[in-house]
Amino acid sequence: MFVWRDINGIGDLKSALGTLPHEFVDEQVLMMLDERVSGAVKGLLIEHNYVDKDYRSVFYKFYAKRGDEYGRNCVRIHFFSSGVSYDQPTMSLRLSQGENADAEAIDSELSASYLGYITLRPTGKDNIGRSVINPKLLSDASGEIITANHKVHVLGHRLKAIGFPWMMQHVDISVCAHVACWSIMRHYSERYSKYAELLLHDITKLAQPFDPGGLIPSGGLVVENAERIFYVANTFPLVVDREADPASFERQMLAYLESGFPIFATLPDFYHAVAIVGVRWRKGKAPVLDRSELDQPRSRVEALIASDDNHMPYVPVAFDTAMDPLDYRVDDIHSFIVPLPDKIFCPASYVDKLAEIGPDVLFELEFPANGDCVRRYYITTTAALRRDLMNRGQSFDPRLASALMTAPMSQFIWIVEYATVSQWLDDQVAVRLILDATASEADNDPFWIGFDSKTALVWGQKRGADAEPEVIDLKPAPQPYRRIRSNLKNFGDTGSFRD
Amino acid sequence: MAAKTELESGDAEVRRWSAGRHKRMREDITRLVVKPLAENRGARLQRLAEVRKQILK
Repeated sequence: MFVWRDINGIGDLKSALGTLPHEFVDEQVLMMLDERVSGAVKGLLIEHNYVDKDYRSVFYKFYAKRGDEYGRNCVRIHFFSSGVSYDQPTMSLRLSQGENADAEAIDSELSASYLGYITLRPTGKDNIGRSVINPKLLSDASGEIITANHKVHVLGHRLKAIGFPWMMQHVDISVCAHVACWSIMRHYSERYSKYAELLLHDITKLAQPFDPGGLIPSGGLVVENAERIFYVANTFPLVVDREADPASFERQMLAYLESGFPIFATLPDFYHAVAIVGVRWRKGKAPVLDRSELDQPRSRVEALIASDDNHMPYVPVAFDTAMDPLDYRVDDIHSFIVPLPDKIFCPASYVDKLAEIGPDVLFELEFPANGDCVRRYYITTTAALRRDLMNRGQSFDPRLASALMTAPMSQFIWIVEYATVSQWLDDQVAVRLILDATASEADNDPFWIGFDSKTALVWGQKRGADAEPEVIDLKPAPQPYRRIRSNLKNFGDTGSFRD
Repeated sequence: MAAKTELESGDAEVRRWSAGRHKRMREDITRLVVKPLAENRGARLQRLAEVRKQILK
């Protein structure tokens, strides 16, 4: 059964959801939604008797065995912005303006107004299950965020929900760390076809080398259990600890985030874990760049964006002082796990050091002076680098463009960018180095290509231990090199750093 | 731009680094990056073993 509710003002959302049976929505959930759902929502489609595969996975293994009776089905709530209505007699979604010729075009138009969905589990509390929420659905959600396009089937339509998976923890059969692992792996399986879809109960089982049954998961897990989940799920989890690398810890975290890899962050003082899924850059009237800490992310990042099972998603985690509604800070993150794909053998800790000494060993290139240099490094694919080159060809000398387009490189590459403060604020880059992401920490020859506006050094593939780079004098580029920002999607940020 | 004198002769626009220059770069990277990381590896591994035991719920 489907029910449409128009949302015209404050209170409409609460009254629409308040009509649902109590086991699907408790007062705390109603308040959370009422507080965070933005005015962009103009209509709700309530889908009763929805079979949620993640809830069913824990239902079969846990709730069905309990003495209390739990329902098998969920309620799913679809959120739409303006321009969509529902015709009850024909059970069809309609666009308010214009008719569309074919189903694909209608799905595309509907998807443009689709702000995602939440499922409500019949568990009496902690109801919100598998959800994909577009950040535009929520007030105060902004920044550059790691997202995927999630297919959603409703009333014969195939809609596209853009967001990062999120749910509340069950408390009894799953806890925060399970949910953080689940959300990261669901993002991977939706975005990259090589990863299998793991249901919530699969995650609770994978945490242990044995079937943990129904009791053990509620006791929480330790970091190595989360690590186990990621490697059984066919990723290659790297644990990075703040105490082991205090100076570069946050730079490494930002590097992996800007590479499009969500991070499993541990907050042991709070016995808590969250997924970090984005970045909110400094902007507005506050200083957009703190020149006293140029080498640290906090000089230019206002907050990291967390997907926390205790709050609606995309909450900002500030660096020094906790920001409402959270009680923890980036400073409280003791370690993180980044689940890497295969063929990344070169960790950020190594690139961090190389980025630091780059100006000393590559002195043919004109690096920004110390004290006026913003360094940034991240992983991308050779394909994405070449796509950027295709779109911004006017910035590149033809011989450099040819080297970038044709040099044999691995699937993943590390990119190190250097900019003066002024260039950073204008999204420009002075020097870019391209490193082999399959190099190891013991490799003293990881460079492939490096260039500024006047000179390019091209190593290309190694041709023996003594291979030297070609040095190409470049014609002055007609346009400056621009920062590559393709791994995260911008929501609500101006995209400009000079505000 | 003193390093340009170390470039082997070539046409005006495409040249090669000298072998000596390249060797020095590799030695610098080994001394400044590769060796310190290798020396620190034991401590890092020990610390990670502790981190892996932290409880999350």
